Amino acid sequence: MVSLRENYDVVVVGAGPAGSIAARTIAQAGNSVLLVEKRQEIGTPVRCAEGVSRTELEKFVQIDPKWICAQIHGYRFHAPDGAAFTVEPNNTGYVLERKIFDRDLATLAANAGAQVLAKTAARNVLCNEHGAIVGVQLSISPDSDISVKSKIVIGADGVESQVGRWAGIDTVPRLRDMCSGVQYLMAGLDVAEDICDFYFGTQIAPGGYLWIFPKGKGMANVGIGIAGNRADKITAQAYLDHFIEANFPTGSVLGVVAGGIPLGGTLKRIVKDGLMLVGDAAHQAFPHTGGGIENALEAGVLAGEVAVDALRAGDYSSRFLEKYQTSWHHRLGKDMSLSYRIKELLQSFDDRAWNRSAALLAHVDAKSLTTKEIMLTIFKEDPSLLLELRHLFTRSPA
Amino acid sequence: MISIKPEVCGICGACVAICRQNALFLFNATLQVSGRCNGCNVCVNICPLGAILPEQQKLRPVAAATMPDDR
Repeated sequence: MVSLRENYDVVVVGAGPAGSIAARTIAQAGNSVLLVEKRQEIGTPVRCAEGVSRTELEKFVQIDPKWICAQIHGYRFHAPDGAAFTVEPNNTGYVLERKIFDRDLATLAANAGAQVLAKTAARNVLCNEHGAIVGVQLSISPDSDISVKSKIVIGADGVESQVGRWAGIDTVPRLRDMCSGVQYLMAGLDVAEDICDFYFGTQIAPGGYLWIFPKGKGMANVGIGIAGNRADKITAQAYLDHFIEANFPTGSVLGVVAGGIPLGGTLKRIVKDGLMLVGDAAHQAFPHTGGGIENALEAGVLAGEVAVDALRAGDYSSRFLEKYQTSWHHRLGKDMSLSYRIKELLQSFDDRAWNRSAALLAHVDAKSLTTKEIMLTIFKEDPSLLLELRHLFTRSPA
Repeated sequence: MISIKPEVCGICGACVAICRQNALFLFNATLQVSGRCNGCNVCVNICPLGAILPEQQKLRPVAAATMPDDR
């Protein structure tokens, strides 16, 4: 086995996109970084619908064609009564092969000088007498833990994040702000190769949506996310199975992944003395879509840059690290709070509202449809939805 | 305390995230529950696969009371 040092400048817990890009950013500047991942193999099992936008992705990394399963040119939205409208943005979307993507990001971190270690779980954080985080306790085998000291710890340990909890940060979302999700990787499907489909409705995906993201060669991620507070009687999987029985009865299931996504918006505190949280651990996915890859990359880079500055300044206090929290809010704070309000509105839609909206939008040119256009169309043509939207934009997020 | 059906669990961590008691955790690729569980059953609701069985509060005391050697 590789040998660990007793001290690193930074320990990053979790080698998803946020953790790996943070590790790369910090290592590139010449600092010592340990990036640990509790899973046996980085990138598996995938917990994601794997959709990203090309322009967002290329801000952070040079795109490798190996990562791309499908290029997406349209997004089709289906109401419960079957009415549908399509959005065709200029910006190409990708459905990724996260297995390869995640491993390559971790490889970029390793090539930048970070030491990467899979099958290594963090068991706790180390605190000094003032409560500052000064390292982590790692489990390298079932019966032996070791302590590794660091100036900064970055918690990138996903939805089930423990690092934040160990540091005393309240990370528990409200049930209504937690998505309960499951996805099948299916094969043998007759689906459009360049269109992502979304299905809405209280009987289809209460408080959320069902998706079909093509992955090429008749394969697709067919998944569902439903609101946690509406999952008490029927599980997300039962809703998904119901849809698949009706639509793809002869399809094959190559893989099953479950997952939860925190949709309450960014945690109030994402830094402490010696600690920063990034990605799902900081609840940074967009609440109305659950999409989090680009946001995770953004957060990882921002946290990484602040860590580099902090190491230069020799200051790891929360006051210094708050620069990360501030720049995150500066970049994405407004988008996140609008996204939360849209999520709240969509969760309140009944089937009639979905049917009406889709009927209105079905006649609009797909190329001209943007999120803003969608909102405005509903806004202009339907007074009752106008009221709901006014409610949306005048109420502050909870 | 809740109980987990390991053959159904997808080890996704949704329940871990929602547990206010911090009673659930993923370790060695399995989901485990600690004695901190207070039987609130929020995790039962959030589990996408239905892998968590709710606490059945009355079963345990009754069973204990009828155990012949339990004096």
